[in-house]
Formats: sequence, C-alpha cells, structure tokens
Amino acid sequence: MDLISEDRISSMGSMEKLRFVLEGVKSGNIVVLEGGLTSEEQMKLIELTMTEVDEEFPGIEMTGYPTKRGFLNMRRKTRLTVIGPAKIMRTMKKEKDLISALISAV
Amino acid sequence: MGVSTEVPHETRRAVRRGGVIIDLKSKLLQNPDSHPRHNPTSRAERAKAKLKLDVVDTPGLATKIDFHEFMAYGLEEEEAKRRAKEATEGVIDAIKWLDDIDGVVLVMDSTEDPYTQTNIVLIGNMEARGTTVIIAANKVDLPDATPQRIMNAFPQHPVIPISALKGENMEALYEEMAKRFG
Repeated sequence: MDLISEDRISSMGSMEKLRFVLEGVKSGNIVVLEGGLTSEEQMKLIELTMTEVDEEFPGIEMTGYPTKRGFLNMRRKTRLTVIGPAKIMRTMKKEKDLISALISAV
Repeated sequence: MGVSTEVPHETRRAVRRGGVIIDLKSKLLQNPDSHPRHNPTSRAERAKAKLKLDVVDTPGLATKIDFHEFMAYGLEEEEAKRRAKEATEGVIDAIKWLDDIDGVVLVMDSTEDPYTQTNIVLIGNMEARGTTVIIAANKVDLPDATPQRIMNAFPQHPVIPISALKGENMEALYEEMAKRFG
C-alpha cells in the first residue's frame, strides 16, 4: 500500500498525478492519496484506466470522502481518495467517516 | 434506444437520435386540470410543454471491466474478451460525450446501492460543469426497489421513480425533462 502525502502530489500536474496513481495500481499497490482527487480527476482516471484494461488488468476500485466547501464556499476542498487494483479488491465500502477495503489473495 | 439484456455492458456504443420531441402541450390542453403544476394558462409552463431534444444514449460508466464476467453469462472466452474490449471503448466514448451535452438523465437501479463511486464521480462532474441532472430511479416494479434511498443520497437533484420495463411513471419523467431542460 502506498500512502501518498498531499505535498507529493500537489507538485504534480493533473495528468502526471493520474499516471503516477495508475502505475502504482497496475503494479498491484493500493494507493491512498492524502488530499484526494477532484471528481474531474477521478473521471479522467476512469478514462485513462479504460485505455489500459486488458486480460491481466481489469481495472480499478476507487472510493473517497466527498469534497468539502472551502472558504466562502468558493473552493472545493478534496479529501482522501483510495484507489486499488480491481483484481485484488473484493469490496470497498464507505460509511460517513470510514472506508473499509476487503482484499483477496492474488 | 439501446438493447436491454441481462448481460452487462450491452450498450457499448453511444447512440444519438436527433430531433426527439417531448410534447406534453396537447395532452395538457385536452385535460387542463390533470396536473395543477401544468395549468395551460401559464405561459411559462406552455413554453416548456413542448421540447425538442437531441438524445444520446451512452454506455454506463465503470471503473473495471473483467471479461470473466461475460463468461458467467455463457459467452465463449474469445467473445467475452471482444465484448470487454468494446465495453472499455464504450466507457471512454461515454466520458467524451459529457463534454458536449446540456443535461443528463442518469438512470440508476433502485434495487442497488446508489453510493457507487461512478455515480458520485459522474454527479460531481455534472455539478462542476453546471449541467442539469435528472435521476431516473429505475426498476421500481421490483419488490426490493427503494427509490427513496436514491433520493436520500442525492437530495440536490430531482429523482423520478420509474419502471422502464413496464413504462410506469414515464410521463412524470418527460414532464421533469421538459421543465428542467426547456
């Protein structure tokens, strides 16, 4: 499991960030991003994932906490996002303040 | 517009149909008391009672597509792999269409948990773009359907319970489309 600090990903461009995440997941890691991805970035990640799907890599599981409104409701603050290989993640369940992942042996 | 079967990802290409007309006006004029919200004396309501749309039926979004899932429905391995490949292209196609639409009717299964990440991502995207979203809570003909769960999950958007299979409550969906997209 890779726990990525917000500082690490904030220095990356959007596409660089998504490639970094997808490479980690394709290597079999669960990637946890402090600071998370925006819904636009998550949509781009889904699109990027679909270009990489093959017989060995069926895709990803992803969940996260919803964005929070920032100062004067002007800026959305993203929060933690968890992304993992669909092949090993049996389920990911989210409750209000808790994300649980059930992992199966490869 | 698309074919519906038990096999997942049956719609693997976006289908566009231009000039679809929702005409609620004639019905309302025939029976003006049928719905108080659509009194034909209201000019604004009359204007919204007829709506011309270009409709795009897109494949559903997914974060994973495993060809083994298709084999569980009796498809041969090669056919399953071909379908999986087409399904991935369909998801990309659907995402690209989001750049070019004015409103979304998001069809959700009322018997399933609405808090899927694809639903959350899609609605988050539409909200960020300022695109109108109507949620059609489908399959209300099934005994375990709970459209209220969808209403609770996404209270910021209108949710219309329907059964596409039985044609139940489709008028309400068309009325909402005419009201929101007009």
